[in-house]
Amino acid sequence: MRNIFLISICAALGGGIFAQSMNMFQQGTSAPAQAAPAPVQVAPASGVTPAKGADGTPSMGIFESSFMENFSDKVFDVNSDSFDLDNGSVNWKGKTFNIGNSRVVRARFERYLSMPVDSQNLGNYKNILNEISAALAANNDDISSESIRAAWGRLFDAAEYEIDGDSSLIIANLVYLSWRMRDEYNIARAGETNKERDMLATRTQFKEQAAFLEYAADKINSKKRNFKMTRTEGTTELGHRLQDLQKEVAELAAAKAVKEATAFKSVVQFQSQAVAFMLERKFQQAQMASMFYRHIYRGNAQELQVGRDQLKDFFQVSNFVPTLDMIETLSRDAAKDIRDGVLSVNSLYDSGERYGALQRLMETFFLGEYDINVITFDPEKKKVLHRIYRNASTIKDLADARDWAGIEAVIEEIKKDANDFPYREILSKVKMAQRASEMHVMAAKQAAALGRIDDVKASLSSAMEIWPLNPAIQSFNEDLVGLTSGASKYFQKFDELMGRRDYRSIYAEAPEYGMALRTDEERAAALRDIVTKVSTIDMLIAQAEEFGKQNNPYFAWDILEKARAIDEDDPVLARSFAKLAPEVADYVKALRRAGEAESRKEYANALTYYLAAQDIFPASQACRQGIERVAPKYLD
Amino acid sequence: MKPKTTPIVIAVLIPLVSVVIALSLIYFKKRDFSGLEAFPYQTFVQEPKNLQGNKYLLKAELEVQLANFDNGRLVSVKESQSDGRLAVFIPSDLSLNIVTKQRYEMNVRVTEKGQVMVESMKKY
Repeated sequence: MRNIFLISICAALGGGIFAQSMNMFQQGTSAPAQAAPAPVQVAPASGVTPAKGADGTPSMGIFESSFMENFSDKVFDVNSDSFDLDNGSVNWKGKTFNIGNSRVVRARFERYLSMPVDSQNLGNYKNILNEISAALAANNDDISSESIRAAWGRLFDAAEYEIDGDSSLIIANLVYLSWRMRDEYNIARAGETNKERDMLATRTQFKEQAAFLEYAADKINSKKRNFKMTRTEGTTELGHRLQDLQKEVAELAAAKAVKEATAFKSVVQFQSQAVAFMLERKFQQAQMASMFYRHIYRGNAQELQVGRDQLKDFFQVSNFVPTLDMIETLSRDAAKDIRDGVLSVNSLYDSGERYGALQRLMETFFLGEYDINVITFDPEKKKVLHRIYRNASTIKDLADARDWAGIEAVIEEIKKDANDFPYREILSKVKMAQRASEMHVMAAKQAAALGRIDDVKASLSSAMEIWPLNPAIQSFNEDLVGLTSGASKYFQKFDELMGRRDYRSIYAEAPEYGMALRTDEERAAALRDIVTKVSTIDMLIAQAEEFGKQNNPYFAWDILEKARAIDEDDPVLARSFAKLAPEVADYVKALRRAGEAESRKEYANALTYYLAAQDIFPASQACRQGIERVAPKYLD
Repeated sequence: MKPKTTPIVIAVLIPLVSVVIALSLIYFKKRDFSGLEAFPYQTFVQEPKNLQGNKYLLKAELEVQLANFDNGRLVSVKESQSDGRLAVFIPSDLSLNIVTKQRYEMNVRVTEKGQVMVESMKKY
């Protein structure tokens, strides 16, 4: 920002705009006798070029003001008010203020939250600024030079406060510099007048002397008719004196140019500082500087010579002529928005919406970081908001570390302070991550059941990537360690269950069996077959239950029939059949009789029953397949 | 002079004749042209064996061909009274073009194996 600011000044100076009109200073008062320190050029807080545009930034939209609304709606993109920590920018009225990189900005905000309010009486400071503003208000155009000096003197009082950050002193220096330049200008102009008067006298004297010489020469020539002569006495001296006069004229012209340059430099310096204050978001200081400027300089010096490009960004109007008054207007508007922002924060806080209050405070802080209303915000409230901010930051850190259980714990903490914190959304994402990790652990168990060690490793790796501290991973690892030491026990148990065709019991401990039986190819193959069959049956049962919920019992039955084809003795499947049977009794009866007839090779009867069953459930796959099966055997 | 009993006889005969005519209509409706009884679909579906060896008149609409044999075709039909479906075997020697969605009166016989064999058929 400072670079752009200086470049603007250089461009303006280099652009041949010295040709300012004379009488730039409005008032003829002399500079006060009180000594003042030399003007100080203060660098803007940030040394980064302001980011242009804020497309894609999350719109938090708070800074809209009612002031100048009718006007501003036409020239500002008020919908774009937002702040974007990632890009380190605040967008206000379509203009992006650079607030530094995200980490520094967050640190500044956290420092602000944790910083105690200054022990100095800030109410007095506020009163001093209000007093200065009132004294220099636009409706007070006939203000005397004494009143301006009184307001100027109050700047030194304001500078006593730490919160001021010497901004008032800078304005005071600028005012003093302007006054001094004005005195120098007046002195130089008086000198010019004297010199011009002297030169006029000299010119008259030359004229008289030249006239005398011509007269004397004419007299001599008139007495000597046959002899003409030229009188030369005195001409040399006249020539020398004429040269001196020309030199004095040139010196006077040079002195005039220096005087104009000095005056213009003063204007540029003042305007530069006012623009710098505004771009640094020191709106109160920008406003005061503009007010002093208006009272010191004449109307034809109100047009901005520096920072025109920056100000034009605020007013997207062609042929727009930016003036110092615009800075004052914008600063007032921003100050009002900041006040409204603080009011909103207090209102939200008092109504219990503390997370909302924190968000509003953050937004207000980025625009009004140097505003007294923000600085003097209630420290007790800041303390609570700081705690919420810290917890919210912790959640972010935990999310980066993928410690989902830790996030749940912090959310419980933050809910105590801010019941409007959007924890449901966060918890939903936490649950999603936890479930995804759990599913990978389950996949690892499945792979273990099938003896696929590489798949176990891959699934566990995926589970750890999503949730490194997943307790299921630890539990699974401990189980694996235990299995390696007790494999023989699992061999015996597996054989017993196989003998009883209790596949469900085997399936329940499939991962453990998978690891224990991985060295026995025959048993491992049997285990794989069981796992495949039971998981397929479970999948079909789940499908059937879904159809049952959708009031399609016949479809559900049809799917269960497929499961029965895999293992008709499965106890879970039998329960599913029993549960569904009353709803499809007629269909089941016809189908059962068809099956019985088919098994007795009574194909004609079987076909009759299949057709009857198909009348009840036309989409029946079992009926269609049965008909296709027995129709060719009708005559057998 | 007419006997006094004549009106009484006439009064008795008229309802009797009406009853006889009504019963005849019902009888002939059931027996139709072939004199066979209508095919009892519900009974057939409940217990096909009970109809083994019987002959019936089946009024039905042809649906789809289920199978094709050397000596005939197996066709699914929709019985006109109940809308229930059953399969009937149409022998090749009937030399008929089977067209779906057409209604036929069929003389059928239920075999010992529960097959329904068409002996003759005509559109109605």
